[in-house]
Amino acid sequence: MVFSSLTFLFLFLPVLLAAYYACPNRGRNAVALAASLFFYAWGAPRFVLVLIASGLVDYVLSRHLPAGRLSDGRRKGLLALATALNIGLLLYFKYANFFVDNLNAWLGRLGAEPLAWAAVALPIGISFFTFQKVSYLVDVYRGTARPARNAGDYLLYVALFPQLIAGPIVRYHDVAMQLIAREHTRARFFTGILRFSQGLGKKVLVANTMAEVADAAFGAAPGSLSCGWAWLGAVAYAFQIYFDFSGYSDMAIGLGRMLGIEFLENFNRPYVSRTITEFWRRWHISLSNWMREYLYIPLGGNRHGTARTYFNLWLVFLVSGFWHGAAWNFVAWGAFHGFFLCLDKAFKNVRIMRAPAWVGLPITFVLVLFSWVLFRAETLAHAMAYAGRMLDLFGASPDAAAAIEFGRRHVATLVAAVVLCFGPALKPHPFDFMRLEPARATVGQTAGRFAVAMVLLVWSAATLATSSFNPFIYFRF
Amino acid sequence: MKNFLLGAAILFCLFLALPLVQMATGWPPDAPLAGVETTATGPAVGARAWWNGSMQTDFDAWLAQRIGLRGALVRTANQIRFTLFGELPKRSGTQVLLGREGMLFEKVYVDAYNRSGQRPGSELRHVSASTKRLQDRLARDGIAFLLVIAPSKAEIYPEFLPPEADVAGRPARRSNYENFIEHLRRDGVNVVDGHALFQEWKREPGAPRLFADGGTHWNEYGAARIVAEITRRLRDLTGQDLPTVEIVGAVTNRTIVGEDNDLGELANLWSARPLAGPQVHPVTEVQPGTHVPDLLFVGDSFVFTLTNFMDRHGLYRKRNTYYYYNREYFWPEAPNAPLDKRQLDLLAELQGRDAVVIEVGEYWLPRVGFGFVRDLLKTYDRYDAARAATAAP
Repeated sequence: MVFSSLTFLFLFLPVLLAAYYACPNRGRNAVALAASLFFYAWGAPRFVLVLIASGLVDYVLSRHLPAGRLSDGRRKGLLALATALNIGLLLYFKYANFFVDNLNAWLGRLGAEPLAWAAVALPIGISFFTFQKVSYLVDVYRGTARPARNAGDYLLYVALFPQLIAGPIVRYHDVAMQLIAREHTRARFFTGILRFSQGLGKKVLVANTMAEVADAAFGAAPGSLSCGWAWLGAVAYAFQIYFDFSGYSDMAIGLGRMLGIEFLENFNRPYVSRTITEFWRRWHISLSNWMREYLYIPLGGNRHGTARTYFNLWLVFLVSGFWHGAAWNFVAWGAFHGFFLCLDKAFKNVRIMRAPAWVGLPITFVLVLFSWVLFRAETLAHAMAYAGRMLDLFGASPDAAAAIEFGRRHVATLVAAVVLCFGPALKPHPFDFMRLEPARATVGQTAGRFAVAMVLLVWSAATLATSSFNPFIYFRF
Repeated sequence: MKNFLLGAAILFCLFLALPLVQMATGWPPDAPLAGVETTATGPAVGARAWWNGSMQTDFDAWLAQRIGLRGALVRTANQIRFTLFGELPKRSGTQVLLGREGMLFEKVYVDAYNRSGQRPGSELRHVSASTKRLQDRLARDGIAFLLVIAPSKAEIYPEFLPPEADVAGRPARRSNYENFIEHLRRDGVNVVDGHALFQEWKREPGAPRLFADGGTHWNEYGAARIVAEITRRLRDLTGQDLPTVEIVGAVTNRTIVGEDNDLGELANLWSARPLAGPQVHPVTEVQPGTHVPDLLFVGDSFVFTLTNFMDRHGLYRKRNTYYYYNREYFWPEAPNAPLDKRQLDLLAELQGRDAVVIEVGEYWLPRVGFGFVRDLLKTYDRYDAARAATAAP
């Protein structure tokens, strides 16, 4: 089930909220867990069993991970085993097809018979919940958090529906206490409504509209695209992915607040970044935090000299790229970001790298655009061809131009996306009032924010409803 | 402030719950939607359907069609899109294009205007010859035959097509209509050529519109002029004093008749009236004849504008319409019903008829009769062969 569906909006969510708040405090975790498992099972009925079974194994193993229960060597071994089980599941479900396809390509080149292989279906959200599970195991091992009180609490941490499918990746120590006791206040619920509606609007009204342009551009043969259309497609995709992903995170944060749980922010106006390093402090923050805490620092971070630091950085980004998708273009995307991050680090004290925002911001945005081409293209070769069209600034227009619809709605949405993404470079940002805590806002501001949220909610819900309505003028028979 | 926050939360929850409440109780009343859609069947409930995910997928589709206040939500989204961006909804069903000066077009007609599907010459020749053969055979039984070609709005008013319809770059090929009409004339088929007539009438000084802005079919005025042609031709073909109708003028107002804003309605805005444009109505004079005929019509959706007008003016005593030769409509009125072609006795159906009128939109050419011509010819061939066998010594 996805948040931007009528089933979620008009059935799952109202029933869940009614059941959750009708239940006394002590039963609310059970309601949230049952709802979360149902939510996951709706889209992946068989994989919910994998989720539960692997979660129970984690829980049992984690009971022995805290210091003092076993020797350090055994604890380490147990952590390695538990982590390997989770990473093994991820490798199998997400990457087995990729490895076999590549192996078969090599076997083909050598003239050997390819391996017979039935493609493995990918359980939705496995990349996210695997990282959360590893976070739990490591936190318990390190003593940053205690093991969960019971299997239900642990499963709730893993499967809590707002963040289950697309994050934010919640580190266990960030929510451990909230799973045991949390406050349900009107102010928190209210800000949850605002964030959820804002996120739904970002996804349905902006991201989906930009997707129409991006899909047309990336769906066309690169040779049929003019340079201008290629840039427009890349820009549209940059806005699509930002509004889609950050919209989903907003919805997750909003839903969490409605259930009394605070998740950390996942995006912080990334396109105003002046360097790639800054971009990664603002983009998918929960992934960056996870990578730093559970991969970069264990690898040695920047503690073992310059060369090792660069190697660690790059390795983290290669892994990050591969985590995003099982294809070479994702690996290239990770390598691209790793390369520019290393450059940032290498030249951070050089004066030119401390250029003002009006220089750094457009350069960074253009670099990010090219990285999105790697991310969006179907294959590495497609990405190269597409980027080639973008760089062909003075080339002739193709004879058979791709038909890309770019009407008033697309123009208006693009302008809105530009304002929303780059407006934050202005201070104060015109939309800052949407983030005010109710306690610090006037009644007028609060009412205004609620009105904006309701408009976004109704408009988005209406747009979702119309997408399922495809009537014919008459029955022919 | 606390009370405000509570009120806001209640309002939010009410909005989420209202569609379910409406679905269960029918309150508050919804705004029904225009158009027809394939009905999503309810999900198969059971362990197997659950585990393979079909129950969930089917349920999502089922709920999306039945959710309460769907009409209000869809109309709201469409209205916002139209008001803010001048755009009509795009979808996989009937697609409506917003042309210049607010003229609406059905996209398939625009595609046909741009010649997206050419039929082979051999097929056009064969259909024309079969039609002529049927005309001759009916004549032997004293039944007149008339073929009416309904013009496409895109062909008559290409100057109003939306710019993206690429009128200037239209290939210079001949249309199916242009090729087919030559065969019909050469074969001597009785034709009321709506395409040619509309082109001619459009050129008359001060000519009123023959299609409504918001309609996909000829408007009441255009249809009435075609009816006038039909009645004249039928009187000549039957040699009987049938009633005829003359169009002596036109009145333009805002009253929508029949389906003259069907595309506007299909846009499903909160008010479809602004899309309808001015409405042209005929001023008529009926010349009653001494013999009021019994007619059989076969046609597509254009036929209804003709028969509705003829019904109102009492231009026949009895009429049956085979809609796409798949569903039957009656005059005097009776509930329409699917046409069971296996049980249909075509010769019995023709008993007492004065004429058979086949209407076909030029978009459909050369599918004259949608199978009716073929079936009736076969029936006649079998009948004639049986009679010949009985008559043989």
